Amino acid sequence: MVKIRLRRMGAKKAPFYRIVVADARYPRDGRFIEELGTYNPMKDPTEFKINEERVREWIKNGAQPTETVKALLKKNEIL
Amino acid sequence: MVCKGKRLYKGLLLYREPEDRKRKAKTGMKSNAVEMGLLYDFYGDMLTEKQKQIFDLYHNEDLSLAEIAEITGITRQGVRDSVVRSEAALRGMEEKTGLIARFREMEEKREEVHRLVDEFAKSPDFHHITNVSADKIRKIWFLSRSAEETEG
Repeated sequence: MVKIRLRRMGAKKAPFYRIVVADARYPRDGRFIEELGTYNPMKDPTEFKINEERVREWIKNGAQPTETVKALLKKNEIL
Repeated sequence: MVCKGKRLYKGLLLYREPEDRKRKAKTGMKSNAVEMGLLYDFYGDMLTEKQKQIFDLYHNEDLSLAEIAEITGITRQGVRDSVVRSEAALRGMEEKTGLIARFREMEEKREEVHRLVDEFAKSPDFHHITNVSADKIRKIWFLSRSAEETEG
């Protein structure tokens, strides 16, 4: 199954996330299929950049966003 | 036996939910993923290696319980238990030491310092101070940058 999930980048105590598409079977850090956007919770208001088109495309093709990503997408009125 | 187990489970559920909400409201955390990430940064070393790995995969890499179960070779429920226990442990640490709350407070102050210095350096007044003072101001500006900016 292909998932749309967050990946934590950034430094200790300064979280920063990328939204990536990844095959659920690939376990660890490296492998993801495509980067769709970024999420910076440290900015006020939080900064959320994403390629809407690609998200829609991926979801149409059956990619599952995780709970966290779903919440983010909802908040930014993409879903 | 069955009856007892059921009651216990319900009791646990009822107990856990308001507790969670109360804590969230108290610390004013933005969202769960971010909150958990920060807890992990501050107190992650309090966990065992195994707990750390599972917590990291669950909250930082955003993997599902089932995926983590597959990677670590334990059951889904085992993963869930570990995550819940870790969360409780980390929350307990924050409750006792309050490092994150303090960190946030200091970050806000730093931000304010940086903003003020930046404002001053861009104002016409800045040209009327001595070189030594200007150097000091520049140094304060550099020191008060956010972690994000320092990295780049």
